[in-house]
Amino acid sequence: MAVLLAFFQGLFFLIGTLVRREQELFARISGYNDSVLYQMAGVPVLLLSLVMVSAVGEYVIELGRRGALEHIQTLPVDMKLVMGAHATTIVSVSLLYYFAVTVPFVYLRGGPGAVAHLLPAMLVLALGLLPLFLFAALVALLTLLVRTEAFLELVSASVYTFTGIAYPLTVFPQFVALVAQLLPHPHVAESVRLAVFYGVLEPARLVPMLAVLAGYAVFSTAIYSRIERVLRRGGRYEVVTE
Amino acid sequence: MVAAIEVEGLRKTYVERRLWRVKRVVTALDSVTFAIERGTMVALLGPNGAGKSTTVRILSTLLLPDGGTARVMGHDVVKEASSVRRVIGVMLDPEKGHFGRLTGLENLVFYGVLHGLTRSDARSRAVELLEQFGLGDARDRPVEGYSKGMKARLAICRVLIHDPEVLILDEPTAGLDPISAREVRERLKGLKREGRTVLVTTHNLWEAEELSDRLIVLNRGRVIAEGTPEEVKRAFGLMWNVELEVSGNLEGLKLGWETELGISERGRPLLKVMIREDPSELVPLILSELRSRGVQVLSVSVREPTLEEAFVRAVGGA
Repeated sequence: MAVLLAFFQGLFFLIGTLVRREQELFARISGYNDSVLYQMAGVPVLLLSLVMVSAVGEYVIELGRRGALEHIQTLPVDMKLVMGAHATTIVSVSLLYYFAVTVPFVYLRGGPGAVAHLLPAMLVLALGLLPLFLFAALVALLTLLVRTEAFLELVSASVYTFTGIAYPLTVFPQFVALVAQLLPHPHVAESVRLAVFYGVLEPARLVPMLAVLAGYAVFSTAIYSRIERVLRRGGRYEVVTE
Repeated sequence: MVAAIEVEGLRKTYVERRLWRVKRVVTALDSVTFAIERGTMVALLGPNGAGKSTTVRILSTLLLPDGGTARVMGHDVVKEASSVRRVIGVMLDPEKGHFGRLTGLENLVFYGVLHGLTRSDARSRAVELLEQFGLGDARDRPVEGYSKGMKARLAICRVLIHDPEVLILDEPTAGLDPISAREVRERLKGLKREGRTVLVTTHNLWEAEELSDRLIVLNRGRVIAEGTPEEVKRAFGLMWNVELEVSGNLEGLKLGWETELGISERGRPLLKVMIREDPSELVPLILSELRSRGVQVLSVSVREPTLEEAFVRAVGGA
């Protein structure tokens, strides 16, 4: 999985670098002026988010299938703590992954100076991965509730399509852009892009991201209790469906 | 004596929906009430769909009831779920709940730490339990290579890792071969001797009779009998079978008990008399009654009712 991700991320950077040389031509064809390379710099955020949604969802479903989720629920440990431990691992591994696969491309494109920009980008990403994890955790709980793994695929496809990372939000109708703004993904991606390209932690971008992070933390905590109650009422910790 | 588990008027209904439409409503528990004293082993019996697993899941804090109350060691399973989880050890399926790629020891340490033990305490307790349950040699092997019986014993180790006062075991011998099942039963008897409170569900009636101090029989979400195995048999109104090989004229014979005529294995007339009272008092009466009517009794056998007969009679007729 990691190799595949690295491959695709490299591919995105490569395409971005090549297309950048033909930026004007690309702008004429596509009808918008966003730099493709700039757009591509947000792709790791998208990939990491997809991995998180899939990894956390599959983790919870697999725990349910093995009966371990039920056993954990009978222990005097808060499920939020278990998810938190899982988040710490995923976020740490994701940061390492991001650093390892990004350094060569950034170095090739901008030299050692550009690599220095990665440090603020890492910081931004570390903060940004938390709301992405909370998003993934909520998706996992909702998957338990609806009892079909297809829900994970649906969310992944939606994230890929509607968060303005793979394509600029400007190509979508306005209401889609508005919905995307409520998700953490575009804010995280935009902050990472700025940090990668300019090496700055721009308050105008960081503040919305931090606000989204705080909002997601509050929202997730509130909704977790609600979903947990629904799961306990329906006895849905036992996953028997395929 | 203070009850370890108290259940009063417990109700649970499952609503199956397709989108927003209600497809089916199933009443799993309908005002279930019972109490289990500390230090006793109690079997929860009942056919499929009787409500055993629902009861166990509510007591394990996995499921919220619709009504009524359930308390474990004085803690309410809904309002004080965290306190309940500290005093219970739960086994829902002997084969489930393990992490296959981890070793037996790692599994136990993991669960021990989640129970709040320090890593070193969890490890020493795990080693002790693995030795005690005959898994010492396999402790460093991944659990995915364990046999069903070994997984079942590991599951018992897992529920004991934090030394709980109350054990809730849902069909601990289900799916095990006879030897493994016997091993598990022996371990359960050991837990009973240690003075723990054990609630065990089982389909195996003689197992329930062998292991438990008391039985609670559920059917269609209701408690239909409760007490010692003898009390449950009596509650079901079970009859002893007195089988008499006889010779002589049986035509028009009417005794004061329920009778049935048949042929014995040796081809002789067989008179079956079903009695509800103590056979040591009634059999001499039956014999003298038959003698007075000129019927010669060649052999007598009295068969004690089994719990299974009692159960089938009660549940089948319910």
